[in-house]
Amino acid sequence: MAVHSHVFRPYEGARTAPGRRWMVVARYAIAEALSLKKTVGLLVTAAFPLLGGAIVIYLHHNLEAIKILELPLKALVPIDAKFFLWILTAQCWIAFLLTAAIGARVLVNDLRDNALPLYLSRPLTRVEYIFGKAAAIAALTSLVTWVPSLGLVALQASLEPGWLVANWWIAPAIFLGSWAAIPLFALVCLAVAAVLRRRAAAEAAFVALFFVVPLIARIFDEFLHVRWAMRFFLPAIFESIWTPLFRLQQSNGLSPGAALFSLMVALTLASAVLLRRVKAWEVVR
Amino acid sequence: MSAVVRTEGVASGAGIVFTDVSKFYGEVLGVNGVTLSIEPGITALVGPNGAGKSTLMNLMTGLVSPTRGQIAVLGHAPRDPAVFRRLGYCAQFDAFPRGATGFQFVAGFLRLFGYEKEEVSLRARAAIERVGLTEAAKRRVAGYSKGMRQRIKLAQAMAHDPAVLVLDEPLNGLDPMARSEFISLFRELASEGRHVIVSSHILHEVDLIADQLVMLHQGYVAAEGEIPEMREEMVVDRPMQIAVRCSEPSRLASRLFTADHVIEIKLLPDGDGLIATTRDADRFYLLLNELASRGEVGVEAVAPADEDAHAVYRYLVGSEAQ
Repeated sequence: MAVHSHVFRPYEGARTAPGRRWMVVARYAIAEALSLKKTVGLLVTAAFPLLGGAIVIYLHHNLEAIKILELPLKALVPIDAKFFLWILTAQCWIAFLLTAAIGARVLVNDLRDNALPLYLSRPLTRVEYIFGKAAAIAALTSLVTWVPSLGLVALQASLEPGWLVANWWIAPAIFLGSWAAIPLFALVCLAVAAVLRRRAAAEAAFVALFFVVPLIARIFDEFLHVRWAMRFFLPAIFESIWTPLFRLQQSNGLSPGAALFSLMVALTLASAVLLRRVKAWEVVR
Repeated sequence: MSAVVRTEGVASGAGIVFTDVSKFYGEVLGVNGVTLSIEPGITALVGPNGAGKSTLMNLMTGLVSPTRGQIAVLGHAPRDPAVFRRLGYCAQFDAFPRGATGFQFVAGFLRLFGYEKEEVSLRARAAIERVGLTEAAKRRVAGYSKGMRQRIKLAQAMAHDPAVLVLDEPLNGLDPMARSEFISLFRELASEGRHVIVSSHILHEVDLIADQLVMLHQGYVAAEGEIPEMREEMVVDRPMQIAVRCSEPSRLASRLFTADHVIEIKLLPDGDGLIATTRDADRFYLLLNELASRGEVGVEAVAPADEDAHAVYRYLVGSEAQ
């Protein structure tokens, strides 16, 4: 053995908190997503419903404009919980498409490039890695859901003093309603990507999953004379969770408890798949 | 420490210690019953594809957990955060974030160690400079040649100044000049007191690199230690070959055949020497000295003909490697 005359001295200076390391993964994933034209396109598309909402709010508070346009706007589109639920629904569909467009890519590229050993041979756990990827998707989908919707609430509140006090639950409903959808989209999309490991297939499968599964459940409903399909149908699940938050009447027959249960099951399954599939080294058989 | 068979009862210390480690991927054997200790310096893990080199590296980097046994890296378990700070890993495959420049690649992974922005920048630049890629640091890795990719991978592995460098097939795809530069760099890193662990399936190149060898075959450690020591221990089963350059090879051959430990002699085709096979190298050298000092033959050069990794591996596992 050679004689080693030098003494190795590692760095002992200040370091950022270990709990913040997932942010590095998230930051790079966001940068990767924003480099895509379709991400920018969807972010721009997401502005249209908001712009429409902003125009309606503006017209409500500009009597001159309503008179000129001769619109019965106040009667047709009242600025209430239903209005904001409509905005949130539209924004969540765009968030769904945005997740489908970027979600698979941020994970599949690492899996296909065998990049996981590089990440996980550093002070970063698999959970932190997955969390970082999911956080990137959540950050971008937040930009098209609760962040701009709360901006509309702020606009309405600024134009009509006392409105916010009278409708105080709308802002929390938007925030909580968005966060019912955002983790579901992010984790399911990542789980599908982890299983398929092909971007195009994962994107298609993610979209199909939310339509094919309720369809299969509907077939079971017909044959077994049960009512399962609703528990798998995304718009019904969200409606059941959102309507009580917005203090509105629910109409689809799926209880909020059952909807929350479906949501939890989907989140648990997606997390389990991710923990099983996102590994630093593959078993070669 | 050296042994042709697995060493037993390796004491734990500041090095990298495997104690009866096995790893099975389902029914597939990764490594089995590995007990060894890796000291500072350059250690080469050698063996053909599927011998268990990458599994051993994955185990010491904490990327996979052993099915059985214990591993200690600098006195800690492999997934201990204290180990990650002191361990640098260079994967066998290319793995780069899409669109990243060389600098971004090194800096991005450095951030995972928790360095502040200025420290990240400083370290990334220093590591890139050390592998000679400063000029190309702002270019995208996707446009790099194979050699440049190997360099930038090495830069990201050593940018955080690790005490242990685990490099999976680092010389793959390099031209002879780049190989030579890499080997010099490994020696430099080892001389700083680091553990530099490289894997290779090309046996003749590890002779140039390693202080210590770990020879793997089908998941088992066939031998470990330094090549001359390994060869010496094998001399009973595998007589040693010694090449002699001399003026009168036929005359020397006839004299050597009088010794009972010499079992075979081949004259070299160029007529300027011979290769003798002996069961006792020490007695062979004494005999050769005696003949030369008496002036019976003019000996120009003497060297072991099979004291290299390739020969040792071939003897041990009975198969040809590259």
